[in-house]
Amino acid sequence: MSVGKKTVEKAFENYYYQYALGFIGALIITYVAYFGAINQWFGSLLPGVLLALATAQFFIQMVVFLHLGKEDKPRYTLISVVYVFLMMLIIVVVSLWIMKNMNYNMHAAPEQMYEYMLEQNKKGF
Amino acid sequence: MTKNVAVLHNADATTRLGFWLYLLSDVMIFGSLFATYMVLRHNTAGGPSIHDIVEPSTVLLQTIALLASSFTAAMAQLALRFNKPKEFMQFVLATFGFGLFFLLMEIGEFRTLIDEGHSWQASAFLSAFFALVGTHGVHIAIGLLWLMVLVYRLRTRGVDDNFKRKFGLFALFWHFLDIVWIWLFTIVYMFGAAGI
Repeated sequence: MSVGKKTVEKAFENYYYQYALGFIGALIITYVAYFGAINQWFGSLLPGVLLALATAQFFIQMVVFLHLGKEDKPRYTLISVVYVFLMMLIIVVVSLWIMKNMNYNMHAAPEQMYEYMLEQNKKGF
Repeated sequence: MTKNVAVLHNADATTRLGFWLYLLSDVMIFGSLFATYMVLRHNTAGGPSIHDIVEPSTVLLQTIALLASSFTAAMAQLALRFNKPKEFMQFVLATFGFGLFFLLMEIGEFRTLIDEGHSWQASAFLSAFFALVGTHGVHIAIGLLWLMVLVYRLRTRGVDDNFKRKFGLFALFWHFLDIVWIWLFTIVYMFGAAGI
């Protein structure tokens, strides 16, 4: 009986250490991002470094606190998460891409636009 | 073949999957708001930019509070699973306290901005900013309300399997909001503080 209780305590502690480690890791990443941003570390790499730190923290949180990928088969949750994040990334990245090009292409004056359309027409369909 | 298309093991697993699907629909909402924000962040119409309005030390405090809140929520769930009612209540109180602290700081930030005349009507950037940060704040407020309802249920009906499942869903929600905040912290506040 006492052995059973000991095993339970052990399991509790294992989870506790796992969560505490995840929490400390998240804090460290937050501090690095914070001081990196306000002190302009990493030069021109800063945006990339900040995004990489956020991605690292994202995966830590997903695995440590949300237990992603630890469910029994069939892994419906994992499949759904991967699918939706893929869709979300497509929406975000492609929106940014389109809007960037739109800003670039929308500078034409009406006459220029007319010329451009004529040119396109000459190429045929 | 039918063996592989197995039904989920029990009601708990089904409920959790359903809740995950709700969270994923929220991912799409936040994704759209992030895309909007990133497109509009330089359209300040002569008003302040994100670099002018961000206060890095406030945001750092908020982030630490939310991370701590997420950690104590995980610990509360653990205490519930291992039948430690006293620790459970302490962790729930800590979760609520950190969450409330975060929300009050965010409301303070919004109030300062509006008092200075930089409300959501001032520019496209500020509209996108308030929409994105405000949506996250509303989620936090709902989470706090949810936690209060759970504690009320605990007081009136005690701990049973039903309660454990409900609290598990709350913890899922809370960790999810923490993850959204990581991206807010990086893309809105840290990019703003660095002037990228």
